[in-house]
Amino acid sequence: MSTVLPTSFSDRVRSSIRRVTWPKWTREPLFHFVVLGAVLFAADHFIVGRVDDPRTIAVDAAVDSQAIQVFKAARGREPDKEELYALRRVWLDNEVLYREGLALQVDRGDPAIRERVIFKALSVVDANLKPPPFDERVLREWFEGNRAKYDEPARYTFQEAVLAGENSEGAVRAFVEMLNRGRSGGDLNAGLRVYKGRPHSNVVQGYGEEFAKALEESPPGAWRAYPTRDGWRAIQLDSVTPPKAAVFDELRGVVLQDWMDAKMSEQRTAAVRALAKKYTVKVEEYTAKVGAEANEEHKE
Amino acid sequence: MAAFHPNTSYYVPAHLERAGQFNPDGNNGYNVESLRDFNNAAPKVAFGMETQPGHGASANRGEYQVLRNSINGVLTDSVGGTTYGGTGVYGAQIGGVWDALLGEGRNFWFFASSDWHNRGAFGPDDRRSSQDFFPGEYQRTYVMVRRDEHDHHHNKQLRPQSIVDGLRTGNAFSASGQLIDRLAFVACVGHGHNESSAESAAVEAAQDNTAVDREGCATMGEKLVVSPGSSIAVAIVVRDPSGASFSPYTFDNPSLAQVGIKQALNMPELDHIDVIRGMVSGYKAPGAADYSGQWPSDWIRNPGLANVPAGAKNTTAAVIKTFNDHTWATLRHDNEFKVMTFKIENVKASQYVRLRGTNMPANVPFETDANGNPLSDLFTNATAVNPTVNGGTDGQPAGANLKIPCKAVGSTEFDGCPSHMFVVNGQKMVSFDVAAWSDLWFYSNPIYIEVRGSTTVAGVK
Repeated sequence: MSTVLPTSFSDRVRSSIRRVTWPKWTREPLFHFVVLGAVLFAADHFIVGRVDDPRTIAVDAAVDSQAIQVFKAARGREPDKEELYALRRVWLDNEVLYREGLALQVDRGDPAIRERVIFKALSVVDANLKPPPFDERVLREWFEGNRAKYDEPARYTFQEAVLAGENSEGAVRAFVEMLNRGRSGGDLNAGLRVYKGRPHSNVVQGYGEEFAKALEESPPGAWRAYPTRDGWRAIQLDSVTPPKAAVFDELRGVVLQDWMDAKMSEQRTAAVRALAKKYTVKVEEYTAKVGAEANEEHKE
Repeated sequence: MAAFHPNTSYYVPAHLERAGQFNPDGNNGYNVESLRDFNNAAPKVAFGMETQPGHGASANRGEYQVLRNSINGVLTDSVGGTTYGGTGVYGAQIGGVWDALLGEGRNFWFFASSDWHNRGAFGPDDRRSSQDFFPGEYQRTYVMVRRDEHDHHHNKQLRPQSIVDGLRTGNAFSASGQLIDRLAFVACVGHGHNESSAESAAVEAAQDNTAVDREGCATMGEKLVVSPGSSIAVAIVVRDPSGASFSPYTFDNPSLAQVGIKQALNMPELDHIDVIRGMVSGYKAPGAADYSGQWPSDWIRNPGLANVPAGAKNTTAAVIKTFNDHTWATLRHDNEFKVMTFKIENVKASQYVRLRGTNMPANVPFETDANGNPLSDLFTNATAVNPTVNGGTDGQPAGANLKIPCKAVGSTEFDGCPSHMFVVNGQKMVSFDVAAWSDLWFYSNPIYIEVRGSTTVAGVK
């Protein structure tokens, strides 16, 4: 039901409208520019906001494509309509769980997720690295500076006859005598270990410096008793391959790859350190203890 | 479990060294007495341990770690600090906790599992891993499952109950990286049994993938009862499968490369088998001084059985025989099968024999010592080491202990050292799944030999 306003009230309103005058600055072009910008910003915010709405999940062609690919790899054919529906359903359930999980921040403090993110971030860093230029002189200098890595050390081929449960000097000497006479020393006594082409450093690491020196000075082809840091051993030196200096021309491909790896690694480290500059880093001092001591233990 | 589910249940503690020694103020950790208590309380239920843990591709192999757990505010190592060739110190140390339990004549068996959760930095479809392996991809426990004679309807089916029954017998072995996939291990005695007949029994069982069921012979988890002075014939047949393993990597094993051996990571070869023997002296009495004993908490820095309490060791255990391609034979028509036999003459006291084998020769830097024992996996663990006290300053950054370079260069992630390996001073270092695929081991369960008049092997009927 409508109501007709009294004449006197309508006239008052009409006359007041006629009296409204816009301020002069509203006619300024700058004002128009600001208003237009605000309208565009609001429209953009509305449209983009709809796309990124955390409560909107799009099951699109990309989802289908991945589902079909996985299904095909497993079954050797494409899914039918019902199967694709089921796959979409699984994806959707997982997407819901994924979003809920993120909302609950269950990704925080999870080392597996941290590892994954680090790995992907490092891949991005790697993608932006460029192989450095090089020439023959650079490679040769690198080769000479790292020659120890390429030179072939002297290598020793030898056997050990293990005397079960006994490593005293007397027992091992008697055992060696038996071995040199061609007798195996009984069923349970001997277990043969064969070492082929072991470098000097490895012999030292396994048995100690004194043993390595004695082995290197031994004539090949006979069983001998040697003291090692954990008891006496029956050893026969079979052959010695003398050391050989590496030749650049033969190893150029390997050297190039090693040099490239080292340079790319330097670049990678520099790139990560550059990223670190935007953070305030508080570093606590550490003194190597457990691992270093364990390493020393291993070297002894 | 023993009262209400005596046959269907089993209690095999997983990665039992991981949480550290027994914590009397909490609910974590195992000492040797914990295992004795469980086995005493329910011998049919608590019959073993998973001392070769899963999580083999993680930054700290098996997730065993130095200063891993905070117990009452004190940071504590996993027992042993790390794994040793992927196996915890209770199972890996000759003369350690496992040998202490076997030295009592207990039915206490060695198991391994994958403990699959996820693939770390990689998606579930990726063949690389920085965390776990799929079940059966890397570690497998092979168990002899027998048909149930009373189940006429399903006797060709593999049923959960028959698998649990199989696990309970101890007729099982565990291997990583498809190092071996068949093992027949048999000890025989008596007239008509010599090395040759024991060997033929083992060859037959290994080829047919069946049990060794011969009178006068015993296999893993069983005991051979003999008269004093008997001569025991022992035969071992393994299959080292040819062809590629499940390792996705085709470049040369970087650990073996240190000693000049070229062997593709996906084509592992068994290097040798050690036969370990220990003497059986009977069950320890609960409450006795040698019933209990905590593994030394400084083992990683100061290993040595001299520091292990009497209750947690069996000093009679030792390697008595080592076989390799110079001393084993291969079957004429199938050289995947390696055959070994030997005799234990004139047995006077009850004892057991068990096996371990690996692709690592003795004295491979940072992998094995000069006696072929596995070294601590600290040297392939990329994980950071915690400080000794919460908030302390003596921790170690990630990668600080890595020692073995991985130098193979390829055109893909699989024919050269992959990109996820830890890098130290520009050099990729053996770590994560590459560390696991490089260093493979198998362990058998024991065969007991009970000498009449000597100690009874009470845990095995």
